[in-house]
Amino acid sequence: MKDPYDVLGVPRTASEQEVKEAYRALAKKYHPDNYKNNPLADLAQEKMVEINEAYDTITKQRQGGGGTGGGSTYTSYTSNSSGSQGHLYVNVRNLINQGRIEDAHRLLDTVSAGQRNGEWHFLMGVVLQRKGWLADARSYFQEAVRLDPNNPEYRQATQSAGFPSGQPGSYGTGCGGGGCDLCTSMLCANLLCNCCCNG
Amino acid sequence: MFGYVTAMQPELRVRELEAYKALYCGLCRRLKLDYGVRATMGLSYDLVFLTALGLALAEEDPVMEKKHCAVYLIRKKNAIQEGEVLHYAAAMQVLLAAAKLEDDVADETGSSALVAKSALALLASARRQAAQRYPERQQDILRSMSALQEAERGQPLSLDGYAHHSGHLIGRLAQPLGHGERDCRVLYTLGYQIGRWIYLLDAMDDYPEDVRLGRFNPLAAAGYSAQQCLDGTLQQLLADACLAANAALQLLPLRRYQGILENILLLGMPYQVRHAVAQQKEGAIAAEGATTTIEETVNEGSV
Repeated sequence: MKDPYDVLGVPRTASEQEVKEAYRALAKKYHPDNYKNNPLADLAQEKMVEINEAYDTITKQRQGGGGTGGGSTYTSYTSNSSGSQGHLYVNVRNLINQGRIEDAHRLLDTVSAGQRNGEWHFLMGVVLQRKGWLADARSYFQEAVRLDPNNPEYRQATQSAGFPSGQPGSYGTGCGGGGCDLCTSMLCANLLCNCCCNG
Repeated sequence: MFGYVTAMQPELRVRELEAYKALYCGLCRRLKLDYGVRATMGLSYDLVFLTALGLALAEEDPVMEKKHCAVYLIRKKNAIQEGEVLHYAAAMQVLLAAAKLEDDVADETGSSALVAKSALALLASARRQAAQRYPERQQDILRSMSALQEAERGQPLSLDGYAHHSGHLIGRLAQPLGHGERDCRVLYTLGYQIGRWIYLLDAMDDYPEDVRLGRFNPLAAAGYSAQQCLDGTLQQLLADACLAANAALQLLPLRRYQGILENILLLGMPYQVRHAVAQQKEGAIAAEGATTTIEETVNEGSV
C-alpha cells in the first residue's frame, strides 16, 4: 500500500486545501474521459482508484470522515443496436468490452459493404481508436454521423470525447498560437550566447 | 533522424534545459566511444527523447560530468555518463540512421543517392556492431521497413494503414526501456503514437515534392489534396497523436525529466507541425508568385 501522501504528491504537512487541490488536479488528469477507448484505459482506471483511495485515507486520518464519491468506471459500450445486423453489433460491443479488439474487428469485417450503416462505422471507429489508429477512427466516426446525424453516441465520438481533450498547445504556459517568432529569435540568441560565453 | 521530436527549448526551465543539453552531449559522446566519430554525424535530438524516457524510468540518478567536445574545442560540456540506456540509445541512433540511409538510396536519384550511399558505407561497421549488440531491435527495424515498403507499393491503404508500421517500430524500440509488463505496455503505446506522428508529419513535409516527382506519398494515396494538408484536418490528427502519447506518458512511474518529456510531447512536437505548415504555405505562395510573373511577362511580350 503506497503512502497516500506520495500518491497525491503532497507533503504530510499539506493543508486541507492543498490536499484537495492535488486530488482534483490528479483526478482531472486520469479521469476516464481522458482515456475513453484508450488501450491503456484500464491502467488509468487503476490510477484513479489509487488516487481516490489515497484521498479517502488522508481525509479519514485527519478528520475521521468524508471521502470521495468513489471511482467512476470506464465507459462500457452498451448497445442500442437495431436493424438486421443488430445482433452482430451487440456481439461486437460485447467483444470490445471484453478487450477482444481483434475479434471485434474481424466480426465487423464480415458485414458486407451494402449493409454498413452508421452503427457499423461507429463501432469500426471504436475498434480502431482502441488500436491507436486515431486518424482512421476519426474518419469512421465522421461517416457514422453523416449516415445517422441524430444519434448522440456517434456525435459525441466526433466531438473529441473519445480523443484526449483539446489542443496540446494549451499545456502549461503554452507558447501556443502561430509562428513564435519571439521564441525562435530567443532560441537563436540563446544558441549564439552558448557558443561564445558560458556554454 | 528527422529532428522532429524535439523540445521547445525556451519553455524549459533552466535546469531542464541544462539536463536536455547534457543528455544530447552524453549521447553524442557515447556514440563516439562506442562507434567512432563518424557515428555522431547524423545525431539530432530525436533519440534524446528516447534517452530521457529510459533514464526517467531508471532507478539510479544519472551522473553528469564535464567532458571535452570536438565541436566546442576548449570548452568542456556537461554530459550524462554511463548507463545501459545510453548504450541502447546510441545503438538505436546508428541502426535507425543506417535504415533511413538505405531507404534514401532506394528512393533518391542522382547525387542525393550517391551521398546516401557513401554515408551508408561509412556507417557500415558501426551498424554491424550495433546490430550485434541488439539483434532483436535490428530485426524489428528491418521488418518494419520492409513491411512499410511493401505497403507503399501495394493497394492504397488508409493513413493509419501506412502509419501503423512506423508506430509499431517506435513502440517496439520504446518497450525495452521499462521494467515489467505494465510499463512495457504503456511504453509501446507511447512509442506507437510518436511513430505515427513522425510518419504523418514527414508525409506532410514531403507532400509537395513527392507529388511533383510522382513519388509515393501516403497522404496523396489516402486522398488528401494539397489544400487539405494545410488546413486544420491533418494538424488535428497530429495533435491527437501528441495527446495520446502524453496520456500514455502520464501512466509511467517517472522519477525525473517529466518536465522535459511533457515539453517535447505537448509543446515541441506541436511547434514542429506549425513550423512545417508555415514553411509549406510560404513555399506555395512563392511558387504562385513565380508563375504569375512568368505569365505576365509572356503576355506583355506578345503585345
